[in-house]
Amino acid sequence: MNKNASGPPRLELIGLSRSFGAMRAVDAVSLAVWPGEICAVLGENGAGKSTLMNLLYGVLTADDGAMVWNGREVMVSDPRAAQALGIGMVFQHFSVLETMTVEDNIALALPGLDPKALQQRFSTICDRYRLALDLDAPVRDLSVGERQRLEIVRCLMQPKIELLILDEPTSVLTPTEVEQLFGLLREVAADGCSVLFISHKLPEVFALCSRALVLRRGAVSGDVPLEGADQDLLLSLMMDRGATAPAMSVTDSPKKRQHRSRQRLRVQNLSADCALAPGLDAVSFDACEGDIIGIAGVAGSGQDGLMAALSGEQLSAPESIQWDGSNLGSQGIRERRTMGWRSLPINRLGHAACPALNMPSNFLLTHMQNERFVRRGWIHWRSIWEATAMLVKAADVRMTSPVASANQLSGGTLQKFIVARELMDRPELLCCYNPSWGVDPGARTAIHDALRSAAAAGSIVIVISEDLDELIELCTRVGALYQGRLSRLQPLGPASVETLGRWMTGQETESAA
Amino acid sequence: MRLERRSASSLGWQLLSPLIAVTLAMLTASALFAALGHAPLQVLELLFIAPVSDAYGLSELALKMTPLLLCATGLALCFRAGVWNIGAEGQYLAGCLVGGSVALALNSPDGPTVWYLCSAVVAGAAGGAVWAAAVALLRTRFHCSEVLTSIMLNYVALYLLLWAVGGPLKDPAGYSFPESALLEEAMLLPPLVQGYRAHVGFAASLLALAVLWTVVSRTLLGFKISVVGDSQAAARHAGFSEHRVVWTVLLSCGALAGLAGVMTVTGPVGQLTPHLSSGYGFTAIIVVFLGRFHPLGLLLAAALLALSFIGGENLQIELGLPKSIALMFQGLLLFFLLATELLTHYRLVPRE
Repeated sequence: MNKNASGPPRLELIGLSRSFGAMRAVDAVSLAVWPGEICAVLGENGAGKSTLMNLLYGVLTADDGAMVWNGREVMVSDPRAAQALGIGMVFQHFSVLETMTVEDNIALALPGLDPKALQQRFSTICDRYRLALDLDAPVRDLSVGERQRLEIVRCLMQPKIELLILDEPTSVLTPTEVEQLFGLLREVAADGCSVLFISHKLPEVFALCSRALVLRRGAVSGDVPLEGADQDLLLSLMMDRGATAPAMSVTDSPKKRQHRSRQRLRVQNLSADCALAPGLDAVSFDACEGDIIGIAGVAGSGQDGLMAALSGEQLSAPESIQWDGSNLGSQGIRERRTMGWRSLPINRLGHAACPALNMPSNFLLTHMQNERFVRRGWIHWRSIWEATAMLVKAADVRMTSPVASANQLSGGTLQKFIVARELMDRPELLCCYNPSWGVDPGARTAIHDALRSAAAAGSIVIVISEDLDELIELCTRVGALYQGRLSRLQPLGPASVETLGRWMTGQETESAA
Repeated sequence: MRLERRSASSLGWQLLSPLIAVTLAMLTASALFAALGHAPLQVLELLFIAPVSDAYGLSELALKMTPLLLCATGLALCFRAGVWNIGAEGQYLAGCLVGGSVALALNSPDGPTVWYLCSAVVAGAAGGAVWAAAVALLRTRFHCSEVLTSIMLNYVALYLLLWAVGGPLKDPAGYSFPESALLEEAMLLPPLVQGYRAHVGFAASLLALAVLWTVVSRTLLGFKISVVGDSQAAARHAGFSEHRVVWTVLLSCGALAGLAGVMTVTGPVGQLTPHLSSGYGFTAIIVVFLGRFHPLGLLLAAALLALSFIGGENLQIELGLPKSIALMFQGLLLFFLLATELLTHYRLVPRE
């Protein structure tokens, strides 16, 4: 039922752009999607996939560029306008209300539809695609797969549906549910509706889609027909290979020194449960002084659990984390801090720093055990103010006012402050999670320099990051998390970016052979 | 015009908004008085100036301020930690009941009455603390919203008090009125100045305020309270227990509110009755917000709201207006306070 032979494309984007501050999240993207086509949108984290889809669906508006729908230029100002055109979207985080029934959830999304017409259209759609869904069931009783089915049915029930966008739809599904979803999507496409399938799981993309649009740093890096294409080609389009070559020279020297230095950290069979994300499954690695260990992985592969376990915010079995031969796993974050361990959580505002408190208070947050600042429960604000002022000056933290609170600082400025705060009295170990996420290039360089010089002075630095460029620039050895398991750690070589990419998608055995 | 979020909350507006709220509340009240056929200026004079124009009036003001300040001090601690304890009223009544029971049990004209009185006061504080402990336990152990549990415990405390004064603690010689026996003179708190009703409790409330100021601005405990109030994840990152802070502020607040209760029983009232609170525990919430969590602000706000209580009674006597005028004024004040609060976080900009 492919109708693309004649007529205009269903959707065409011409030079679509959107910036957040200095960062161009979507950079002059041009593409076309044909009626009845299932097209994959691929890219690493932060490549701009979600921003692009939010532009299509009217959640965000574009700064520049045009969108052509069925041959006519359109402006999509909000999701209602997108729905009126015939665009439906299934978000990664479901937008259904748990306390209401399936019927109420549909009625809420499709106002102006009387109950009788709603029930009729619902049963038509369910019959057409052989979907089992109970209209009266409360959503809280539905499984994750059923909730997703509800979202899709809701889109299909729109007065008009010609383009269905799914944002990482398989990340929460079991393999059987994935098969069912793919069957449904193929039928929907056969009826002439175009499908945009956002994912970073290559096998699924090959199984479902006929074409892949690859995004890198907000721009289209490839538009590849999938028949006959191989995974390595897509991986290389997703990842920035330009960064590999210069990274070698940076990683050269610490790698040599590593042979002389002594091993201090040993992580052994570290496992942890996590409420929502996957936990950790027998993670083991060790590190010597001066090491910068990089941990890659797509979001939600166990990074949160690893960060919590290493920082000491979550306790683990005593012998699972060893420091200079003594067991540290059951010691809390305060005890570890007195051993010289420091951490940089992923959330600056609200975790690493208190949003409404000023910088001296935020300085005190991780220096409460220092006798210089707190003696017998009494705070010495004067020394804290002095220390903060020195820190601010040394780390070039630009604040509008000395009494500014943390939420008045830009992300990069705050992160520079936090990095300087943690590195102040040369830590023995620093564990950071996405240390330069969302900061401007200047701050990024400053943060990387600070981490590098800490390692040069003998600290162990562990960088958990979803930014491969960052890991390549910084680290002496890199591994990847996949579903809570950590791959081997290996020094980076020219060929290793692809290897790393495979590890991130759980294909370690293949490359280990 | 439309609202735009300020990048930083404005310090000027933080100070100005309570003043604007007071002015607006007074203007609205004036309009209401005019509608009822009274000259607004005369009513405002009776409400806010006449009651404090002599030494007796000032003593009465101090007397009313005592429970308000004690409750507000405790609530300020809780609110700083983001613990929305609405139960100061119940904690106050628990203090009345427990402290009053101990005072009645030890009620005697002679003997070591100073120690008896001290025991009663300590018991009152303990009673309030136990009442707050229930809220702390439910929040830390079972993740119950302290807003709901503390509100509901207010009613439990009230009906326990009503039951007690109508049953086991009823004065056998009291003609079946639901009141306890009167406390002996020796079992009452000494007045600050002989001949006036304001008692040593007022000094205690000022002391509590000073301690609050010190704790909040100078101690690690105060810092931890601010951190928990701002972000619990940050507290975890700093490495201290959020639960311990929640327990600390709730127990302190309960003890202070309980103290306020027992000091009313062993102060101006001198017995247990069903009418021991004029809603001090609720009014104290307004005191905290009007006073902007600052000790000096609390003092001024407590004075204003205490004045509205006294002035309300004054209006009833002089003009025959209902006493609930005072509550209406408090309601107006809170309403305008919350409304002007918006301007500390948002600014008005003309629509382009």
